[in-house]
This record gives sequence, C-alpha cells and structure tokens, in this order.
Amino acid sequence: MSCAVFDPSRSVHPPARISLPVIVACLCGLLLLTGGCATFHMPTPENFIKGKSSRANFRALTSEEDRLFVQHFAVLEKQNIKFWASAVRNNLVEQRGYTLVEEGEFKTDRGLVGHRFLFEISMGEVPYRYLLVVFASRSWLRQHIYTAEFLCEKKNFEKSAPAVEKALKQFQPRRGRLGERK
Amino acid sequence: MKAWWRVGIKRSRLAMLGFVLGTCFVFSAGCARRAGKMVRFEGMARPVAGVPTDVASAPAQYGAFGRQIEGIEVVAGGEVRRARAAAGAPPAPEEAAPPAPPSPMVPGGGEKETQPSPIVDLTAKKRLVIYTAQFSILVANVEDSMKTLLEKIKQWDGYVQTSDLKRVTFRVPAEKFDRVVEEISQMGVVTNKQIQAEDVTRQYTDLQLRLEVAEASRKRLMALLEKAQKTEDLLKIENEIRRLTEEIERMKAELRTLADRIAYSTITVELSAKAAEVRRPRPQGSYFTWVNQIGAENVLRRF
Repeated sequence: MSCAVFDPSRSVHPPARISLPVIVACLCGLLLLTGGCATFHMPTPENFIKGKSSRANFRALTSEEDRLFVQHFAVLEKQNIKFWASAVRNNLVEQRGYTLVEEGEFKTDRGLVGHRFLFEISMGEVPYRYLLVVFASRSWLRQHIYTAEFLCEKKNFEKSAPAVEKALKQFQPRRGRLGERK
Repeated sequence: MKAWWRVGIKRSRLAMLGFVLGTCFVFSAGCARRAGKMVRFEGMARPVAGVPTDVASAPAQYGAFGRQIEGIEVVAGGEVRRARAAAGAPPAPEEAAPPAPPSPMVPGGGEKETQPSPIVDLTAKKRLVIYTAQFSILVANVEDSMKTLLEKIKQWDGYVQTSDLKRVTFRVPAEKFDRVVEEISQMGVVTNKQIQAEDVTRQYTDLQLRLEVAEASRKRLMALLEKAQKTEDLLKIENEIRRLTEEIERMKAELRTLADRIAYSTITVELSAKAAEVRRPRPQGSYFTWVNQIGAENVLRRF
C-alpha cells in the first residue's frame, strides 16, 4: 500500500500572479467609470422638462419650447473669464449681428463667477431673447468652458428666465480647478 | 449767176465757222498751257514753290489764309505746304519781297527760324482744337511707373515739360493724343481723369485776319514814307510803322503759340502709391471653435 505524501515542490498549481492584461482592463474600467460621469451638475429648472442630454451637454425645454442648452468645452488655450467673455461678445455682436441688451457678472451659490449676456435677435420678424452665461475653470492640461444658453421668444422671457437663472445658481462644474471662484 | 451767188454765201459761212473754231482752239490751248503750270487750289489761287507765275506776284489774290507765318504755312482750302526754306526750294516771288523786320523773339528774323515747325491744317471742315488731359493714377510702385512713363514719352515722340518724383507734365503730338490717353489709363487705377478740348479755330482765323490787315497797312505806310517830304510827316509815319510792326510781331508770336498748342497736346500725370491690396477672407467664424458652437442658431439646430 502506498501512501501519498504532499510535496509542495511537485504542486501542479503555479503561485497566484496578476497578469498585465488584467491590470490594463481594470485601469480602463476605472477610467471609464470616472470619465463617464457628467462634466457638470445642472438641475432642471422649474416648468422645464429635461431633454436628451449627455455627459457634456444638457437640454431642457418648456411647454412653449423655450430652450435651455448647457455645454462643456475642453480647450487648450488658457485664459480668464474676461478674455472668453470678450471673445464671445466680439463674435456674436460684431460678426453675427446680435444686439447686446445687457451684460454683467453672474455668481453661483457656490461662488463660481461667470459672465452673463442678454442678447436680442430677430428670427422671421419674431423678436427673441438669448441669455448666455459663460463659466470657466482650469485643469492641469486644459481649460474648461461651460456655456448655458437660454433661447425664447421675447414675450416669454420674463416668465421663463427667472427659473433658468435660479437653476444656474446651482450650476456646478466637475472638471478643473475652479479658479474663478470668489 | 445764181449758182455763183449761192456758192459765195456758202464760202463766207464756212470762213466764219472756221474763224470761230480757230479762236476757240487757240483760247483753249492757251488755257491748258497755263493750267499745266499751276496747281489748282480749291479755295484761292496759290502758287507752288519754285514755279513762278504772274499770279503769285499779285498778293491781293492770295486770300486771307495763304500766308507763311514763321515757318508755319497754312493754306486755305485743304492744301498744306511745308515751309519753303525747310524744303530747300527756291524762294517764291512772295518771299523774294523785302524781308519783314526782325522779330523781337527770334534774333535775326523770324522767317529763318531753324526749329522744326508744326504744320497746321486750317480748313473749313477740320477744327483747330487744343487738347489737354490730367490724370491721377494709383500704381504699385511710383518710381518704376515714373521710369516707364518717361520711356513711353520718348516713344510717343513727346517731351517732358516739368517733372518731379510723382508728377510729370509732358507734350505729345496731337495725332497721338488718343493712343497716349488710352495707354496712360492702363498704367494703374485711374482715380481722376480730365480731358479738355478747346476749339481755337475762330481765335486763330481772327488773329490771322488782323495780321493781314496790319501788314497791308504797314505796306501802305511804307509807300507813303517814300513819298513824304515834310519831317513832321516822316516822323508820324515812322511812329505808326513802328507801332504796327510791334503789333504784327506780337500777333505772329501769338499765332506761333497757338499753332504749337494745337500741334502738341499737354498731358499731366500724377502718380500715387497704391497700398498692397489684400482681400479680406470672408469671416468664417471665431478662431475659438467653441464660440462657433454657441448662439441662437446652434441652439435651434442642435436641440
């Protein structure tokens, strides 16, 4: 009768190792998890319905089809909010012919400072109001720019604009260091 | 008898006919001979240089325009002749007459002027017009364009009157005026172009008539001077001759100037540098691409 003796040197199972493909797969998953999140937080304004949105943009509209569109842009050029506000003003007023009604600073509840524009335009002889708020933040590599655009007929502006501005007060960017915070 | 009488009448008739025919032949032959020696002028009789005729010795038949003025020979009726002196032809009887007093402008007498004389065709159909033009032109390079223009002036048989770095006034033969104007217009962007045409036909003919009258008066005075006996009369006639001579010379000078202005057009060209023209591209939007993605039209399009 033979007796089987356990010999670890003769073990058929190799010692446990984490292979390189597994590490890469894990890292990709982690990146996807973190990168897949929305780049900003924007609550849906009152009397608005959230439309088709993605991690870089947000759409909402009213029953009169007044539209709110928030976008995130990551750009290589780094500048402060005054510079970007000037670029926007030049493009919309000088090149596209928008009429600037008013502009000024816009501050969120968390202290993020942006620039607010109110333009008036005409489409098919119907006057429209176009509210634009621009925010900017910086990360290590890039500049993050957030734009919130609200477009409605002039007659609806007084009714819908307060809800939009209230929602924008709660706007939170999730990319970059909020350099413009006060 | 009857037959003889009839024959006599027939003979006398034949003789009469022969006499008439012979006279006509002789007359026509004489006319033809004279016509062969003369050049016919449509307007007035005018002798050709080198062909002495008795008509040429009668200045009264010359007419108002058939006169040589300081090398410019103007003939009415469409005939234009060069100055006889320049052509080397022997002087006509008219020129063999006592020479005119020396011109105050040209020492030694005006008839022997050596400079090339313009020929003016004074006819009833053709007007005498002085052409002038002014141009302001934008060119890429003022210096190069000025050099080119000066070269062209030589090619046009013109000459420069005044010039500086940017402006040149030159004169070209009147017959080349149209071509010169066209070529100058193609030198650059013409910002100003003025062309004037001054009709001086009447002024010219008036001046010539006045000259005729003055010269005739002077001739009469010269004749009187030879006959005058009293010193007082002599002085008076001499004074009048002096005054007339001055007037004649002044009119001749004026005619010369007019003829020169008719023969050569004056053109002034002012050149200016044209800034390099760069066509501004149609605005394609902002350099910052994200700015192009905002705006009401994008909200409507992308919503």
